[in-house]
Amino acid sequence: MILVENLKVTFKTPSTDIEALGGVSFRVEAGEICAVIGPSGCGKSTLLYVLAGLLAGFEGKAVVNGEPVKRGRRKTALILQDYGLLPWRNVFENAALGLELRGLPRSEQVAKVAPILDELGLREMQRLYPAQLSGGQRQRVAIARVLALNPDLLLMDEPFSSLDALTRETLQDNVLEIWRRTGCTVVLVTHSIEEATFLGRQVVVLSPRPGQVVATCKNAGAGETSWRRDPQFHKVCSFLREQLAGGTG
Amino acid sequence: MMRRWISTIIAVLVLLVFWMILAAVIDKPALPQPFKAFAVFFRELPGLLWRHLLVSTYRVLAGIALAVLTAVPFGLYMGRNAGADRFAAPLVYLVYPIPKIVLLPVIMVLLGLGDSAKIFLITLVLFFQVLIPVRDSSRHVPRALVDSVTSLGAGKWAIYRHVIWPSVLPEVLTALRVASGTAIAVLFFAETIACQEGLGYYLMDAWTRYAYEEMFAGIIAMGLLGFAIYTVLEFLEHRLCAWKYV
Ligand SMILES: Nc1ncnc2c1ncn2[C@@H]1O[C@H](COP(=O)(O)OP(=O)(O)OP(=O)(O)O)[C@@H](O)[C@H]1O
Ligand SMILES: [Mg+2]
Repeated sequence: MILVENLKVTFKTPSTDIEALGGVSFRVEAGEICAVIGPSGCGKSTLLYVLAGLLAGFEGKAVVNGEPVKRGRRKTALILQDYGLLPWRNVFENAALGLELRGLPRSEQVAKVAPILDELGLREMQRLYPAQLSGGQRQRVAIARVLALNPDLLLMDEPFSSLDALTRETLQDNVLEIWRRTGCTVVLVTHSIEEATFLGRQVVVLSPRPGQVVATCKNAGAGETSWRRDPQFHKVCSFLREQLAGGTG
Repeated sequence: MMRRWISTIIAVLVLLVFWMILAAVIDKPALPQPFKAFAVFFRELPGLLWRHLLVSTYRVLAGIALAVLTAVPFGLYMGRNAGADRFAAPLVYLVYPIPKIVLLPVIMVLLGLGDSAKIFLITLVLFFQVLIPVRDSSRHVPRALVDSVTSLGAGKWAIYRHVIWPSVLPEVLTALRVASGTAIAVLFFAETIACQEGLGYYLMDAWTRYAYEEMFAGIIAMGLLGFAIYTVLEFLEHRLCAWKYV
């Protein structure tokens, strides 16, 4: 599904050139969940932007579903940490935005969005504005908004990092449910070792900037909600922690 | 809503009391007592004053409308295109500080003595007062917001329509609220020169005849015009930017 080969991104600024990604290679099979973890500033967001087709100036190869990444691929969904929602649209209007942009009439928007809002427990909040929601509810709206478009690739950039531990775990469970139900491919960027271990059936560890792959770990236990309480879970966390430390040292 | 009405009425009463005291202290025909001015205002309103008020209202509203219609697209474009901004910004900053009123003679030569010259002058003044906040606020729309809506399938136009414009709209209304006072002041000036219609003319005409009570009736009309515009803009802001007041 995703093939990244020797991906390099350099930002040109007036003073210097900043090398964000220094040759990253990995692949994610269709229907898998991949977590990308690495120290702050190592280029994780940059990597997602490339995969989302929002950043054009890169070297190397980035292929989604057999085609080079491009802007406006309709089955790619992107969820960012903040800012995702439009403050002047209520929950329903935000969730239906993608459908509206595709020209669907209102009745079809309702038909598609209503069950998704139900599933995510947002039914009662349809008329509220983002400012009236908690952080967790807002992120759920962002998820609803992309689910309405039936994506086959879900890209998430530290989606839960500003949430408290309990809310974060509930949302992680939501992601698992969605993943299992839709069978979409998921790439999740995080700086939380626990989150990477819990969700990533494959974990890509990046080095400090310029980001390079330090390790790619299979993590077959992930994909079940019970994995969080498995004794093995903590072993994987420790292993990833060592990998990250090695990359730093 | 009720409370707003009450506080407005109290504010008007305070102003009237202040006016009464001042008029009593000064005790000259140049500052008549408010009840006299209001008596003339209500006597004149059904006739001539109403006509002048309508003419002035039309000019101010047309000027505001034209300024919004021209400044908003320009401002959005400058804010979102660094190249265009580099070219246009020096022009804007060169012309912005020039008091546009000094251009009135030129404008009158070009557009004549009728409505269009006055409307154009108001448009010119307001253009910059709307352009600059629109440009600045459209430039500061968070990139992540644009990116995430782009990833939902929005093209350039859809981004303007669904992201940039709604986030700039409150700034437009605020700018207009601030500028509406300026607009009326500019209009007054324009209407005092070679003009036979409008509140500015009515006021100056009363002044030259030393008809101070009529003059103050004109001032009351002008104040009400400003207040009405302000109220409408505030209403629009609550209506169109409801999300800001939740
Ligand atoms: N538009 C840009 N112009 C210049 N430099 C940039 C730009 N975007 C990112 N960078 C630089 O590229 C590097 C990688 O940025 P990126 O946002 O991808 O890091 P990250 O791994 O997501 O960090 P974090 O975990 O803090 O979110 C950083 O050093 C950053 O300063
Ligand atoms: Mg980041």
